[in-house]
Amino acid sequence: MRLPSKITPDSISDAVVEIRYLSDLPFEILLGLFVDAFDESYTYISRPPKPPRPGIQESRPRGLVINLGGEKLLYNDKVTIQLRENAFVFSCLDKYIGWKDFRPEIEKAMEVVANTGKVTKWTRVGLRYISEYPKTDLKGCTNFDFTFGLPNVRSSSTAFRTEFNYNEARVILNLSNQIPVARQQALNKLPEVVSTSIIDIDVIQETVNELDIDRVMGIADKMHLIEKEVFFTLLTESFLQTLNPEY
Amino acid sequence: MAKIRKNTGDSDLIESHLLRVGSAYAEPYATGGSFEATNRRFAFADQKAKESGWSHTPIEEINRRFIKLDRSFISQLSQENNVFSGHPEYILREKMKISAELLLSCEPDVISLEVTNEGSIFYTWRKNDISIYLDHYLIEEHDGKDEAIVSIYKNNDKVADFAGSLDEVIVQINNSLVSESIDFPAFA
Repeated sequence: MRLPSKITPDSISDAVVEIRYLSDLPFEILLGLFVDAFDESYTYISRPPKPPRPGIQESRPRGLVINLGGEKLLYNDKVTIQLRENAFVFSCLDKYIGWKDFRPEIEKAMEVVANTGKVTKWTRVGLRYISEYPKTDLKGCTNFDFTFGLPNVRSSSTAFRTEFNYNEARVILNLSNQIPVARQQALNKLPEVVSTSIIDIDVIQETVNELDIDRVMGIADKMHLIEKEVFFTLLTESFLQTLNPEY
Repeated sequence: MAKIRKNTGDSDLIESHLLRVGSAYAEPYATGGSFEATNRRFAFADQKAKESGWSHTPIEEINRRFIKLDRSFISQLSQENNVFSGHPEYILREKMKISAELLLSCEPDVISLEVTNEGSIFYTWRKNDISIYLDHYLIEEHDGKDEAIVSIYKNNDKVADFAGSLDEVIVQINNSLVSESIDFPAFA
């Protein structure tokens, strides 16, 4: 199948790449080493730990509760990087910037991390794209008819989830059709419920055992290609034409 | 050198440990995971859908909004050098993080901040028909705590005015908005 290099609008609400690693050092030490390795084009900030909400505190065990802090974030003018105990999670700072620009940002950051010499192994590569279509019925847009054993039933909203292996990757596909979403339509107005459809594709290579960044990025490229294949195979030709595909 | 525990990558063990100590790291990963983990997310989303509309993605949009506020703060801080001279940027950012996190936690429709020449951050916060204007003073303190002033409006009608420490102001906001089902968490 010929895959478009670009569609407009892309309707991507989130694009995330997660790369997991192993190290011989505990995270609290790694965090400082990693942050120190990035140049001044990156800014570090940690979100404070989640404050307790009423009711939560009571359900926790009594006694000492150690709070290890909140989200650790690095960002530049294009991407954000969440630093986690066993993973780096990359996402776009604002709208999706396209794989052509997103990939080099990931690679650049991975090289900085790798040059610290503290990562002993890259263990897993995951890529997840979530596309969102307000006021759209996926039944007419995808090669999926959203029916089941009761043909007379017309579902007002449907959620479908499947998990399968595809080209040696694990794919988790979530289709949500005409789900009610509360959306702010105008400032100072109460949100309105808008039926929204979502195509959520998660592609994962789980058994990675690499230290070489080029190879890890090669796996990320492969995951991205699989994501595109699954996404564009799902769409009907007529719907794809409305997205102004460029090849 | 002290003996240090190796990061074994045993995610189940780590997650159970982190859950036990109440860590913010004990969260679902951004991609994939087990059926169980994904189902947990969906159960959560389903619950959210029942409560107040569909929460479409587990990935935290709040990070982006938090970063936008941080960028805006750093940029404006550099223009108010004389007001904050002698106060390290790091400390000022740490203070900003507290009020920004509190205000973001209720997922406002609109939030922005302005660094004033009085040494405060002036937040404008809107959700539905509620507007909150919060002045968080970064330099002056009230009984050892940051001072804050808040004005709350519903449509164009003033609901409350209050001044005190940041903690007290958050309590006051919650008291004023209890009927609006808006609840700001309070830091312990």
